[in-house]
Amino acid sequence: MNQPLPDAPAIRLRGLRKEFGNIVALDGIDLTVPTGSVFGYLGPNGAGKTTSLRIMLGLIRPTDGSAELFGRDPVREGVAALEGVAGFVEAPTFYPYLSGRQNLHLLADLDGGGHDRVEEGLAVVELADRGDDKVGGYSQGMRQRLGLAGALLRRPRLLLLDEPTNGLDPAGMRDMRRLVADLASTGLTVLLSSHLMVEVEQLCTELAVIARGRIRFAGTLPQLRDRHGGSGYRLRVTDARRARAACGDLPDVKVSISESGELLVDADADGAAQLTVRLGRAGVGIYSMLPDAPSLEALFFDLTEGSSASDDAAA
Amino acid sequence: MRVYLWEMRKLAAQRRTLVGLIAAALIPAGFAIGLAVSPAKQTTSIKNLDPDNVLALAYNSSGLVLPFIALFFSSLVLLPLLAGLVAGDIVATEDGNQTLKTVLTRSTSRLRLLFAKAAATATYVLTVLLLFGISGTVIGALAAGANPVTIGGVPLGGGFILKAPSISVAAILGRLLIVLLVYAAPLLAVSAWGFMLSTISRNSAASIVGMLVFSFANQIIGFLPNISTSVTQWLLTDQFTAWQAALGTTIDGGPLRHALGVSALYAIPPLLLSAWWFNRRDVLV
Repeated sequence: MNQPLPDAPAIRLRGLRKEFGNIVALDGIDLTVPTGSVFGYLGPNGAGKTTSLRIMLGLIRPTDGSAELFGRDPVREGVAALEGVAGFVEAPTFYPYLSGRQNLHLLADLDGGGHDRVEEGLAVVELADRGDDKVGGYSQGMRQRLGLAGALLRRPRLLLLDEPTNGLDPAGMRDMRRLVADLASTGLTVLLSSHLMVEVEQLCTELAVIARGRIRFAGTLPQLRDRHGGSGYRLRVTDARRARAACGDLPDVKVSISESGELLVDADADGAAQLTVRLGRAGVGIYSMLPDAPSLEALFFDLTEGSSASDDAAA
Repeated sequence: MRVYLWEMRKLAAQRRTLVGLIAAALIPAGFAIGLAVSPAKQTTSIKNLDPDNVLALAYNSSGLVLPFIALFFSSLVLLPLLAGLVAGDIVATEDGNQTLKTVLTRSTSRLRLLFAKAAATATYVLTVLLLFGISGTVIGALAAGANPVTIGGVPLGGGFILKAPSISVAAILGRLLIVLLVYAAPLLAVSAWGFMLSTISRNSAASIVGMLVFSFANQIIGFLPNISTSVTQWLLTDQFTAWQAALGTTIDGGPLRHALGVSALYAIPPLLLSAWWFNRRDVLV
């Protein structure tokens, strides 16, 4: 039997394509997720995120291309390729007529043992007290947490989570994100599928944006911001006219005033630092100074709905 | 083995399984009540009696024939329906609950999981028949006494002759076991078709109805005129009545072995098709 390749990335998708009749769900995806990262997989509903995850977990077969987890292909090797891999797609599901604890014991048996981790998993997701209740009576949030406990039974090195905060109230979302962050801090590789930019921003070190079955961007958040411009700053000051006059001669710094009276500065970090010193000397107070970058939400919409989304050669 | 045991635990936790088992135990009670209200009477020449009349008459002397009477009337629809409750549901319900994606991303292969489900289905079907037999025997014994069965010289149809002058209590219980095992063969065969429908259609109700239609169609052929025995013996038709060969003066093993063999031939293709389909299918729910 094949063993995981030590140097292989956690996930490598090559030319991944999936068709459902005439519908192309994935249109030749190439993506590499390095080991140890918390990788955001961002896209609107119907973009192809869940289809990708289903292929990675061996639930569906690609029409073309391949998906490898630590160098192993679930299509060729079956469940053996999922060694060290756990996760869920869409909402995690369980047998409603069994208790949460029984469901976890069932999953442990399907994994060939590991019953000692059932209680540990229930404790991690704070369900130990409700473990004997039937899952049919669980809330959506409890099922999501039980899904995470089920994944942890496998002591995974790679966790594939499909919109884990979907359907949760704000407190549930906060708790789930904290759980994922805690797990990621242990060195686990996490692929977090989401359509929530703020979630990816909070948790992920790298991300890929997918829309209409194609990867529109892959890289880090700063790279995403750089790619879409926005190297300036926006300042609220006590006197915008005096501020512009005071900084007009600074090299490589361009200053203008917006309609709302804010100071718009186009400069790199060094230029911005010089500008603050100059304003202080000129007796201009600074209320606030923020990077004038487009919001992540705006970048997301630009990638998934804007001109980039129709660009066949994107990223 | 652990996967099989979980399938059994899952079945035990589901209401429809319990309904099936309770119904299996209650069916003979219905016949006991019917016979108590309207006992069989010998009104025509014994040579013209149908097998069901012969058994009903024998009930007047021993309650131990009650399971045979109940089987005679339940084999067409009732027992296949009880078998279908699980056979037609056991895979489709995983789609209904959307739990396939949960269990198929663990370390158990698809084929192993499907094999466990098939084994659990067979266990349920055999349990239904066992409960049916035990319940019929106990209820019959309580209602009409556990006496030796005296019936003889009566054609049972299909070439079988029931003419044991008296069958002891132990012998009739042994024959009941044989009868149930022989009847189990075609019932398991149609259950395999229900299992296949459950796997492919992913719809419990459609699979249960489909299995019943298949079972009924196989048995109804026996009632059609001008259908040669040389044809029906290779259909499940004759296998559903083969158990009657165990009620002669001596047990006629030929039809019993034939029923087991033909039933196996009917069970294998749907199971193989189920395995092929399940192993390749996309899990989208």
